Amino acid sequence: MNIERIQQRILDAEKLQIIGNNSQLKSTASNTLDMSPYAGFIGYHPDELVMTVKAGTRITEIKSILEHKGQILPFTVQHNDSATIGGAYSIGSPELRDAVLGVKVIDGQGQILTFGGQVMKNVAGYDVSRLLVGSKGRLVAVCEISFRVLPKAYANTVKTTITPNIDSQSQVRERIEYGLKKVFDPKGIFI
Amino acid sequence: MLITQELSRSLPNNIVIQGDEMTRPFECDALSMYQQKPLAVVLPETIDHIKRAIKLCKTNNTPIVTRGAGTGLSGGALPLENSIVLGLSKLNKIISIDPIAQTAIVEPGVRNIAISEAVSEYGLYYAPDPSSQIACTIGGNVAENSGGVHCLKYGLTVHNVVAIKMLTIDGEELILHRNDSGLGLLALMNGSEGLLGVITEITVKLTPKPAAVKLVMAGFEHVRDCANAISNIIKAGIIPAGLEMMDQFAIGAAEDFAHAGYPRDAQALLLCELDGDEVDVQQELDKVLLLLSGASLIKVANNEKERLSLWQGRKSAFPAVGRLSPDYYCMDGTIPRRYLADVLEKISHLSLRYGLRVANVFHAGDGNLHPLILYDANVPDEQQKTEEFGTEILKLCVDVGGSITGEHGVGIEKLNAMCHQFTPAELAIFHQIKDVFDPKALLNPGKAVPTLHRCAELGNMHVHHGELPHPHLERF
Amino acid sequence: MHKKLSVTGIKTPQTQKAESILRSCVHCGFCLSTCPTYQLTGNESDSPRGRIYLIKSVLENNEFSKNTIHHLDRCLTCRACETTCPSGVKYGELADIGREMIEGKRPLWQKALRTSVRKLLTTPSLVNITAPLLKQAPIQTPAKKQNGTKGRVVLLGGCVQPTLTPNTNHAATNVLATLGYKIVETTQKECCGAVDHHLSAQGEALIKVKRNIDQWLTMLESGVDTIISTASGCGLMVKDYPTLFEAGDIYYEKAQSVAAKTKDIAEFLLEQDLSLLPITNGKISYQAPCSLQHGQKLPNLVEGLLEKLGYELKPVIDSHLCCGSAGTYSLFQPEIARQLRNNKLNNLSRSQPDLIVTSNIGCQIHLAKGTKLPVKHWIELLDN
Repeated sequence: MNIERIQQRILDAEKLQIIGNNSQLKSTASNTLDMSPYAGFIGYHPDELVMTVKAGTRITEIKSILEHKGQILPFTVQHNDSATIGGAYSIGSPELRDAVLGVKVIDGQGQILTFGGQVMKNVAGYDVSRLLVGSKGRLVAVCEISFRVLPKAYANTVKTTITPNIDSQSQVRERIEYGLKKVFDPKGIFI
Repeated sequence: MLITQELSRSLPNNIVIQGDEMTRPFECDALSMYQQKPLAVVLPETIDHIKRAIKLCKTNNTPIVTRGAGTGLSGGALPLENSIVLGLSKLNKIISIDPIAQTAIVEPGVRNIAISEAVSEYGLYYAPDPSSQIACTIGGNVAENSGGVHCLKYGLTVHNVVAIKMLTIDGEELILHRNDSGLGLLALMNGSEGLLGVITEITVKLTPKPAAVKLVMAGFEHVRDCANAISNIIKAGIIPAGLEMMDQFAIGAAEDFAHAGYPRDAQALLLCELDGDEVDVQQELDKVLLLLSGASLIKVANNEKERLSLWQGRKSAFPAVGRLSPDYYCMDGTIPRRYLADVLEKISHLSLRYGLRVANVFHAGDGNLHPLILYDANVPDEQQKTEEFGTEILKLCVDVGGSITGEHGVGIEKLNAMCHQFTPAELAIFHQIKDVFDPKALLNPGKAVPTLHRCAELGNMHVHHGELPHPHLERF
Repeated sequence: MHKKLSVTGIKTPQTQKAESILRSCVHCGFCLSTCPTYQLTGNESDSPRGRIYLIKSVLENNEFSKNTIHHLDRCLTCRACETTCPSGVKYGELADIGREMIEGKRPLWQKALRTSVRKLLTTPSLVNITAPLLKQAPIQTPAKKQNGTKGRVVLLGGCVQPTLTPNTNHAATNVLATLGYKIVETTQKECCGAVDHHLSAQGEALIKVKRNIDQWLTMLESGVDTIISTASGCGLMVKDYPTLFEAGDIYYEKAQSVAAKTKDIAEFLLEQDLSLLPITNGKISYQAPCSLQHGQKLPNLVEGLLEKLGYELKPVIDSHLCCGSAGTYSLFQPEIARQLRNNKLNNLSRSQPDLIVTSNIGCQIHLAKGTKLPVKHWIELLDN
């Protein structure tokens, strides 16, 4: 599976549900885009503490590569590690959001877009790569994710991930979230 | 009625400043090469004053430029000709401190360091420490997603803000929390440069003061040795609380002000701070000292006074360079650290080509470069030459996979460089995000994101695979 | 700082100096954080950076009104900004030049008021008449015999100090006598010139300054080692004498000789055998005058000395901020001066001291008006 194929699926679809390893979302949609075949490592520089992977890469695989270099993920993933990094990103958690440095996504119009990067500090443009954490696959198809990793010695600083627990709905927030959905997916194909 | 009259009528005395004479001191922030007087300056004392100002501005289609202490280095608080400046310096109260939850609720005009001072008695501090921390405000920090010398270990502002209260351009209050379900709106507000809303209250995360802190200073005869030492420290599994590098030029300037005992003859200086438990810190220190064996000079600060003095030199390095040159232009690119020595070499080639001196100050741990180009604004063309030089440095950063700004923001200054880092489609997304929050484009318009038109005119369009992307997008 | 100066007409040495100071400012804003007036009002124009901008604007021949005068008048000239400034901007010198430039537009009633205050304070006969109206600190100990085995020193009299707080120099004389020095006290006529200088009466200040320089040089030539000041405001003025003259002026070098020999009493004592001095018991809180810590750039001088002598000092919050006295400031800006004094007294009282001590007559009188605690010069502690 390559990124152009994902792009084509999106361009062709009227409605599309993005799924990962199907560990979190029980899909009922007729047209699904399974991102789990889009897997693998793009870049890993242990002395930069940064890793870039394709969204379908499983958490277990990431952990084993990190283990090899004496490093760990700075967040935990709920349920089980057979989930993909893309799935964990879509479900979202504050700690995962903290670790994210950049993403490559395809929006609802099939545009391939890159936000953020592979460096710790980057304030060019709005922080879209953190905005989209927790977007449940309804705004974009996340293809590649860069995130921060930690040396093993800092394992005690990693907090167990909590589920975002504040029901923050308000009219203003709803209007903004609706507006943002329209920005990334104006035709409303991601369900 | 004019907006200035309406504001004066609606707000108490001393809140609204107008007229050329008294608005002039607000015509720029710490990037003083751009200047523009606003219609008026509003210095609200309450949230209600802000609401009234926003309402009047919205009705009159008057842009609002929000300002903290005006210490920004990218012109984010540069007024517009037809705008007001909304200065939040008077909203400087620490509302509450919760030592158990390790949070503090503060108004946006509170100075960064004032938070640490106020919570110090509980053994806590606020971790992000931009160099201007004695003066810059927390509201400005959130707007810029400020970093500092300690963010390698403790994160940027976005990692240390638990919640904010903000006002939309409609005057509606919105509360955003780290643990909100749904999209990362709080993260989006961090670094949004005043384009999406006006932040009125911030809940910050506080960090326990470490039991032990050790600062090591090392001088190197070659820049590359210093760069290698940095990589080796991280490779060894150590995340220093701060990992900073300066070149010879910056060393001299900082030493002139701080008298910290920096080695003036070293080509590069490394400051490496370790913190945590006594035992861990000692172990890390031993490892670091071994890894620094290539240094020509190594010194461990003996006491707190010495440690602070070594940091003071680094934190004052920018303005201290003001002693060497009438004007300087401070860049803020980030690069993957492995390209450090190469990029510095290229910068020194460019320096020769442009005939302009450069001092380098570098948050080495997180790849954040601060080349300071020295120039004299009174010499014809030198400012333009400086800006061209600066743009070349930023392109260099993007080309090795970095960014045009690590912590200072885009503001007015890096609009052109944005065209190099983002495609028109990405820039269009940014514009649409602003449109969701601020459809009439009244909040700090024209900053942070360049128009597609601007990028196209520059002929500096981001190019993918040799083709101009999305030819259907309107560019002129 | 980026600036396009368009000074029309002939450039005077003053405007040239101003221009060079302006160019050293990089507009970083660090100074905002330690400016007492900006802390109170939050207005850029009440900050050093804002005032530099206002002065720059006047230099560029932009229109200015009483508003500019108002904000420059609100500056305490405490020079805390100079301590904070990493670029080394000589703000104090720039402020003096700026004030002179705006003086022409000052309303007549203000000019009249300022002249009367100036004349009152610098004319000993007038000070002496009004003294009974103000609080006085009477002499408290008998005068000690001066054997002068270690040498002779000049002790600056000051214009108001002999009348308002005569015990300060009396105590200083006794302490110096204990240490073996013979004291030559200058007469009250010899105001250091600070009052005139800060109220933009340069001409009159220079007359006093030159007279002092000539007299004191004669004393120095006759074998006196040091000129000692017990008022850090006066001490600062004397140390700054060289900045009042162009490098070519015959008084420039003379001023340098005088300044080089001038010391605050604490500087002088630090080089002496302190074991000879008995101390008074009691919990004290020390207020560091701006003229000492920022002006003379001697932070922690007195604190260090007092600790060496055996006093335990608790840190004072915001000890770098001005108490609001600032020479004649408290007379012209009573509201800000009062707010700053309240803040200062709150911070000084936190450790619940028995008395407050300081190093400058201005701070002493100003603070004493706002508290029931005794406020003294610290040298009085050593005379018993």
